[in-house]
Amino acid sequence: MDKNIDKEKILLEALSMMNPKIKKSLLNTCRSERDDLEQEIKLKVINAVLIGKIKTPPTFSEFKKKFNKMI
Amino acid sequence: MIKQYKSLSEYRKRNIELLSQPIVKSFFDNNPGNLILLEASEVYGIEEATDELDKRFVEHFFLYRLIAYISSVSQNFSKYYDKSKKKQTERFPLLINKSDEVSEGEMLDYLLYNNYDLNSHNTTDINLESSSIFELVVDEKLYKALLKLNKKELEVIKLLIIDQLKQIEVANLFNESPQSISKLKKNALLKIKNEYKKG
Repeated sequence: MDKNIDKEKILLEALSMMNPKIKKSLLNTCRSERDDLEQEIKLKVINAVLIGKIKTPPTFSEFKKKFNKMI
Repeated sequence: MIKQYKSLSEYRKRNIELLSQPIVKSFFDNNPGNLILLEASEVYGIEEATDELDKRFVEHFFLYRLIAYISSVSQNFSKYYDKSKKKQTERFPLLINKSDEVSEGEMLDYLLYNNYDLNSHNTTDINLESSSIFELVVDEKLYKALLKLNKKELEVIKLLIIDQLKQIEVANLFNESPQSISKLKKNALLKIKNEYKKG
């Protein structure tokens, strides 16, 4: 099975879903630094996807096989 | 393909642990369509359903991993970032962010910052009627930088920043145009900035 998934689409979805969490973490720094911090966090996440830091997961079939071997 | 399961419920019974695994569980809970694909794949052996199920699962799992990563980064990196910014401010208290141009607003803010005792909650206690700007300056570097200014530049800076006069008021005081006052101020701030750059 070709594991060619649309990573960019998923990235946008994840960033949108996690926006409240990111906003909350900005409270950890002073007001003047918050914009920069937000950008840094998002940049880190985007970079992680682009360089393949977030590994492509197994398919359901593969996952099933591994799981059943373990139990 | 050999049919292993007679129905979806049989599949569920025989694969309880797998279907309880959090990622798998959320995969089927979030989208009931995936259960239909599961049935088509496991009960009826339809290859296209298996392929589609596999693809959707990869996407779901990838999203899951990404969310976990974002959560971790937001939490941990924000604390690290704040810590390192605080250290930076400690080491370089009057660091000017804009490298090429002097942002007058920023410069004035920093100069004002130095003239107020931040430990004192009541800043109106400070007597601003002192005749010399040097009496108010606490920071050694700033003091040295101010020594580089000529008399007029010092006066203008003092009147604009300490006494908080408007440029036009200062212009009237010196009997000069507001533009020349603005120029004086700009040059004075540039001189101070250059002194700081020298280190």
